[in-house]
Amino acid sequence: MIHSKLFVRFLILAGICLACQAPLLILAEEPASRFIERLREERLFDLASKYLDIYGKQGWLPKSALRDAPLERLMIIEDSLAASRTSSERDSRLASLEGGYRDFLETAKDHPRRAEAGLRFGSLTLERGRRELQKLDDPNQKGNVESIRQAARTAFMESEAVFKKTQADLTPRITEMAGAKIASKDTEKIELRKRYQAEYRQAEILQGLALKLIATTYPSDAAPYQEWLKKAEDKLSDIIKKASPPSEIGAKTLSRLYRGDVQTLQGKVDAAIESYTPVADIEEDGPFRLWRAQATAAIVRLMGSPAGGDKYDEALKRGVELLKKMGKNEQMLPEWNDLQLAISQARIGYSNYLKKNKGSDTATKAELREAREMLTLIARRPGEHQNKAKKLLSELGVNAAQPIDSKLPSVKSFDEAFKEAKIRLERAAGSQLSIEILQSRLKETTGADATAIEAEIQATLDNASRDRDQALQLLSKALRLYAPSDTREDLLIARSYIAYLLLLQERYWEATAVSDFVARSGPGTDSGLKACTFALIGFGKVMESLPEDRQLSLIGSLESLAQYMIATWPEAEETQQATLTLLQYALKSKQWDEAERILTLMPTKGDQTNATRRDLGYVLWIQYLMSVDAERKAGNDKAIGDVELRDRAERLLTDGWQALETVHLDQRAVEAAAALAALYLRTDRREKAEAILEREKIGPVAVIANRAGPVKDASVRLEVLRLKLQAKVMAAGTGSASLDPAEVESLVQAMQQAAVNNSKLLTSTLLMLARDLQDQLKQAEKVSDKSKLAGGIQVLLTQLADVSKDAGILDWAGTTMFQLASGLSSNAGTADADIARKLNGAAIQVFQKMLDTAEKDPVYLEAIQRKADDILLKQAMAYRGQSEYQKAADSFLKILKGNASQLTAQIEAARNYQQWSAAKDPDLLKKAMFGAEPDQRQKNIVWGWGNISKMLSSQMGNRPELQKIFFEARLQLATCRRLLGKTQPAAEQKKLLEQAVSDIRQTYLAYPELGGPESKSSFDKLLRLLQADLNRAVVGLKEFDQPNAGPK
Amino acid sequence: MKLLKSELAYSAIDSVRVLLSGLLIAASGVAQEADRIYPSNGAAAVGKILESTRNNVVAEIRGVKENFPANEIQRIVYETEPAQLSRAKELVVGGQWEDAHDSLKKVEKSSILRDEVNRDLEYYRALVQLQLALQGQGDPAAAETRLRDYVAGNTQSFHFYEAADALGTLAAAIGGHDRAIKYFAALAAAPFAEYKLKAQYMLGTSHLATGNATEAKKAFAEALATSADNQEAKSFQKLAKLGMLRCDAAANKANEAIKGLRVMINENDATDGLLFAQIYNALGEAHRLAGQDEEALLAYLHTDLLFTNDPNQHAEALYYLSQLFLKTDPQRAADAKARLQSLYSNSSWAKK
Repeated sequence: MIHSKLFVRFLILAGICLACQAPLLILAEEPASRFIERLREERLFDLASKYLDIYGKQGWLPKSALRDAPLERLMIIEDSLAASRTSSERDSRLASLEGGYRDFLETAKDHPRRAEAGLRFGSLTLERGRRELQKLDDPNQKGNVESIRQAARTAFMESEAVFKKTQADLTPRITEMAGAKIASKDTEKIELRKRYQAEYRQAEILQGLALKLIATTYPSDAAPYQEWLKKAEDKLSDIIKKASPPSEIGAKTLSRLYRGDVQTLQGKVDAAIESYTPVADIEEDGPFRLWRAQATAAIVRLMGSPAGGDKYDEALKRGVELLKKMGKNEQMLPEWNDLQLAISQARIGYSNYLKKNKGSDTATKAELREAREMLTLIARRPGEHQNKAKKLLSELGVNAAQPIDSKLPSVKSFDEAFKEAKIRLERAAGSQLSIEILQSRLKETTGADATAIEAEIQATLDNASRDRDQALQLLSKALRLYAPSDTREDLLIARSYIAYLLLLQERYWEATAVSDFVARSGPGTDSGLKACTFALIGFGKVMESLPEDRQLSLIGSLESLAQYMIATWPEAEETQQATLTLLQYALKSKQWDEAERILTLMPTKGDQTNATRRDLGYVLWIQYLMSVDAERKAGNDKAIGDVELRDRAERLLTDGWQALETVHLDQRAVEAAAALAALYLRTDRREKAEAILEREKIGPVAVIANRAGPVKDASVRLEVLRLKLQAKVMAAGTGSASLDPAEVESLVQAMQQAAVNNSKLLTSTLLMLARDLQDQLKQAEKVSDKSKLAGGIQVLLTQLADVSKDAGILDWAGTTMFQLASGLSSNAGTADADIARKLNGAAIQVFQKMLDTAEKDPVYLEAIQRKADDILLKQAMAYRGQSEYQKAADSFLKILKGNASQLTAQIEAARNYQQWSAAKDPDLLKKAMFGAEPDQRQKNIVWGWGNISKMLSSQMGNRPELQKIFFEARLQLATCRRLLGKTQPAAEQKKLLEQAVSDIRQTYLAYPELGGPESKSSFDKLLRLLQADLNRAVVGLKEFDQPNAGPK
Repeated sequence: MKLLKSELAYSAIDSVRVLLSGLLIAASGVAQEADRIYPSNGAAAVGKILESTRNNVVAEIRGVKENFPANEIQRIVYETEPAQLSRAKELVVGGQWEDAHDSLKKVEKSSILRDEVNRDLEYYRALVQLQLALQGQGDPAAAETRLRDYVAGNTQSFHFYEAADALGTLAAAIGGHDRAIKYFAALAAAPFAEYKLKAQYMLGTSHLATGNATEAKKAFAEALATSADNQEAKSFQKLAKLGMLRCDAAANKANEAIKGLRVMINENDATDGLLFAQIYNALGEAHRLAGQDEEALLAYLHTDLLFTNDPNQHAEALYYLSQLFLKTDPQRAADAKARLQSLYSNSSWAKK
């Protein structure tokens, strides 16, 4: 709140004092002052300022507006103070504003609106002083009391001087225009004189106020306190005496109110009551009503106190009488709530007084009960009184809940029924506060007292429930009793209460029907809008209770309500909620077109619309990721998901991003921006992704760097860092930048910090990153891109393995690196081979880490349903990839010694020998063909290709999945035989080559398809090599189709 | 006091006459001797309507034939017409369209004995429907058809020009400028100067809306050349002058138009909200055409904040504000758009 009540009083005063002015003169000119006033009313301060600039420069402003422009500018700034975002911004604007007014007063000596500027400047200074004094309420400022008082005093004194000077400035002007010095027909000058007189009076009243405030900067026992109060009292008394004409009733009344305040501080109770009384008795509308409530509250406090002679009866009578006249629109005003607080305080005081003076017990309790009821009522309304009311209630404790009469009161008219229902609704709402207080007391109580309080809570709940039942019955009666003479507004409110009560009773269908009706009967009213909320809740509950296929039948009604709300309350939050509810159902049923259509129901632009579009984009992006996952689970290695969904998400997220401004930055905006960046990365548009991630001030990276910023969720921080890392790896993949391991490490460290010891979150984020990169790698077209990307991935996965002990993560990281290496190592002699070596080396270390841990922790691998042999097998294959064949052979042997029928290990062991031989070593080739490492029974533990194929040929009939391995074994057997032949002298070579041909022929004759086209082609190629080696016609498998072809 | 007494006496006599007429109707079927013709100014004339054309109504008033030009007739209350219809006619004069609509709904058609009354009932129902459509209530196309059908069947009705004016205004408001041109052309054929003037001005505006600045300028020039001897006619001449400036703006002479419009601002009284709404909208248009978006925005804001009495002008201002704010402040753009949609949902500006 920028302006205090005091300042508001000044504005009211200005209005009252100037009310005598004539309407604006009609001039044929640019209506500048009216336009600026309207711009200010509409809070278009920037445009008001622009208007003065542009129109002033073009010479389109009338002379008077040009002359007033500097003052208007200051007033625009003053009005815009409320729009300040931070207190420091507001303080700096206030300081520049005060400076501006000071300069204006210094330079514009003859300006006709100089007094107006003076009054505004003085009021601002008063406000500054008051804000200083408020610091005294802060317990941390205890040591600065004297300096705070001094600062406030300086401000108030400056203010008092300004008001005094304003009067001095105005005196000669008013004197020059006095009486007959102005012709009676010169209406313009007469109006100006009236204005000056009104300003003079305002300056006087505000000076009186400033004098009082100066006094309050001294301790109440200090001499200057009373001295300044005396000056204030004298000044205000003087004004009261002078402001005798009826046109000055406003000035006189306000001065009396202020004087009453001063006299209260002076301890002059009777005099204060005398000052307040005419204010409290005045029967005028407008601001007089507020002053009346204030004066009455002051009288109630003064009379209802020992210092005021304990005149509780009189005090309460006055207060209650006025309260009966309180209008509906006044209920929420602070002045009227303060009056009720004062009455409650007086009732408590009276109750104590009666107790002390042995008054009737019934009366004592009645006062307390009434005080409690009133405090309960106002404690639910926001404002300065709220905490005081709660504190008093807490001190009073909660009275035992009185059983409520179960019989409905007899009502004969709509009004009566409506009133009785409202009493019950108020009471039921108030019970919530009683329960809060009882519960807080329950925490501090034990034993029998606690049981009693629990019973009290239950009784209060029962009473509230009965009250609501009765209210519903009474409201239904009220509808039946409604007559044309009753107001439609009350009828609407009655119906909206019914809807509310039906909701509470979980009668959702009825609640929905009634509230929908109320909403449409009261377009533009508060009751109508509230009813919309009830209808929305009702619709939601009804839909929840229906099976999904029947939910759709209600969508039409919900949409009709939403459209009505959009047309009637386009700006209301409830309208937004209605549209979002619709959207939610469309999303739930995956109707993306429908979801976008619902978006069109909203205003085409605006924060809410942008946010909703963006959120929908985010939801669609998540849906897209789920589609990718589903494809992947279905076995599609290169899953790209539902591209249409992705495109929709991109369109909506892009709209959201483009509309994003610093002021609208929240966590969801950052999440959506990150999603868009992720989408770009996934679709190979890294530069665009980086532009979003790294954008100054509003880019996700910049936003999460600010710990005090809007992103509070660790997962969002991690996601942004993940994307940044992914972009780096991808940049390395395209050769745009090299991946700096130190930078990766630092990013991973930042992720660790962001995860705040939540290792699961960290590992799942890193997993996601690696998966994305792997997808990327699969989709990379060029080999060079592949290897660069793989290099980046290796650095990343090594980091991942370093930070995690999780078996699943390590297994995945090691396997991924090994698989990537396998894919790359085929390009021997290239950079790929180097990367493959690195990847394999890293994979070996990861597997070793797992094996070491498994050795210490026997159940370590159970979580991922693996055995140590599985890891050992992968490590062996990685060793082979590193050309460390001996180590690989040792590992295979270790596995096969435990379980010789481990087919994968057998195959890989045979392959290991074959590769190890480098096509030259006959011993190793023989081991590959016939096996090795005989056991105690001289049976080879490693079978070799020949034995593998033999083993499988007998089992293939029952297990077709073995066919592929069988043909692979047969092919490799023939291959090895050929290679072995090549190492032998000519005769032996020919024999072995023929045997290799025979291997193929036998396989072909038994299985002409040779395991399928791919495998058949491999056999064909090998046979052609053999045919060339043997100087025979190179015809491939056709050789076996010739008539004379037969077993040789 | 004397005057008051004589008025009371006259009124009493009149009541007796009405009573007698009633008796006569009961006795002899239909009589038309106590129809009341309410002129735009002055007291009602009571008598028998002899003849009615689109240009005038001739009635026998106390035995003397009197001519009432159509442009001077505020309304005619036929003897024996249902009270709700008479009430509706009064409400129409006051522009209380919704109340008039309610009143017309209560009229029992079967209780009407005269064809003129039946035709009048149909006219007022069509007119009220059209006016409500102009305010955003109901289907404007249906309203236009209904009144047009009435006119087609009653080409000599003294409501003819009034209907043509209403039809033209509605058509222009919903963007049917070609149809508006036809309706206003019919109005321009009226033998009454202020009708002609208004028609010329509206024709100019409609031509301008279709992009035909040449025809528009011609129509505005004709309006300016027509002699104007009353306040209403002078108002249309001011608007025609403004129309000429809009034509200038459309013909790449935006700066000249702006100068002319500023002169108009300084020469006219800003309390004339209808005129000033048009001036500031024209100013907004000229600034837009000159590429001066900030100035255009401020001009339209004048209409939005100070001169909102004319729904069509206000809708236009809101439309352009929603466009201009888009570049600088999307929230305000959305606000303007939302207000346009909620206040003037039937307007062509809301549908753009």
